[in-house]
Amino acid sequence: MASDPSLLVLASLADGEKHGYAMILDIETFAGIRLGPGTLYGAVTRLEDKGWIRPVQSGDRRQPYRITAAGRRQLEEQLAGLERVVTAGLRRLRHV
Amino acid sequence: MSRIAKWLIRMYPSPWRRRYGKELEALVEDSNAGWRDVSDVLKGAVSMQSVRWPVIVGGCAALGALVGFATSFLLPQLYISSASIAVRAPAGVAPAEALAATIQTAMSRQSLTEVIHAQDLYSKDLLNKPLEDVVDTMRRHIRIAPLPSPPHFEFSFAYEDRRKAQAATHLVLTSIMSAHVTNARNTDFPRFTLEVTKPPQVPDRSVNPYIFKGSVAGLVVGLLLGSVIARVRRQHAVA
Repeated sequence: MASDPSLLVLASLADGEKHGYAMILDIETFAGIRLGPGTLYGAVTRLEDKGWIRPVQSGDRRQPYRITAAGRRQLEEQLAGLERVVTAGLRRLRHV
Repeated sequence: MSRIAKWLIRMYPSPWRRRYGKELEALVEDSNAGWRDVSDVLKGAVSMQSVRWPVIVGGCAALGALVGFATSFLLPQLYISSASIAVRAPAGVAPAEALAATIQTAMSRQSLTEVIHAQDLYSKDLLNKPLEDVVDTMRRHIRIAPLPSPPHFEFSFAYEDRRKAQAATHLVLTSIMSAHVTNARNTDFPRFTLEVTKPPQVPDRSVNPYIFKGSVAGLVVGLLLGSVIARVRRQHAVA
């Protein structure tokens, strides 16, 4: 769940627009996961199709992307779900 | 490595490449792609291609045909032992017509059953099939065809054991000659002479009779499987 490339890309874009390579470096820093170029662009394709991210106007080949309002809501939902799993898991571990 | 990764981008579907190709190329250049990135780009291309149902169905069908083709070589191969006979019929009687009644007698259930038992043919089939079916199988493996040089005919029998193929061909030919002698006494049959011009040999090479059937069966199974996979993927995509 936490290693889902789409979730990682949304989380990376949550604090501002980034192009592909910047996303890879950012995700590696905060999640310790290095996404390959094919995996990253697979996620970018799916997220843009769903309207959760969109490209930012740029003349550069390095196309930056921005999270949309719908994408932000989706990220919040997914993180809330993840948080519930983390909380429940940690609580149960403490009771064993 | 970056050059290989960039080359692999060509394997993505062209509509996708038009939209994202330049961006992915720039990313591959920036990330100084290693082997893992190369395999990741390849994996991405395969994944993107397989999203399209014609690719899934076509790929499965091609794979199925290939598996069917390869599997056909795992089945027992057949050895064809052949002999030549010359049929000299009087003027006005076609050699094939003269031969027909003799062949009918030699290919009778009783005659072929004797050959099957004498050479211990189709022993596995005899365990789970009625004798009539096994005799029919043997009939299908026997071929009599006119050769380009009249009045010669080729007689052949295909079997999975090359020595038994030759021995059985010899026995059936003997039955034909014997039936000819018997029929010759009957005035209703046309008079003609029958001569074995080339006796049956032990065949050297086997033939694979299942290539076509195996490939077609694999193709059909692949098509069906591909259609199911494409449908399931589509439903997942919609969900």
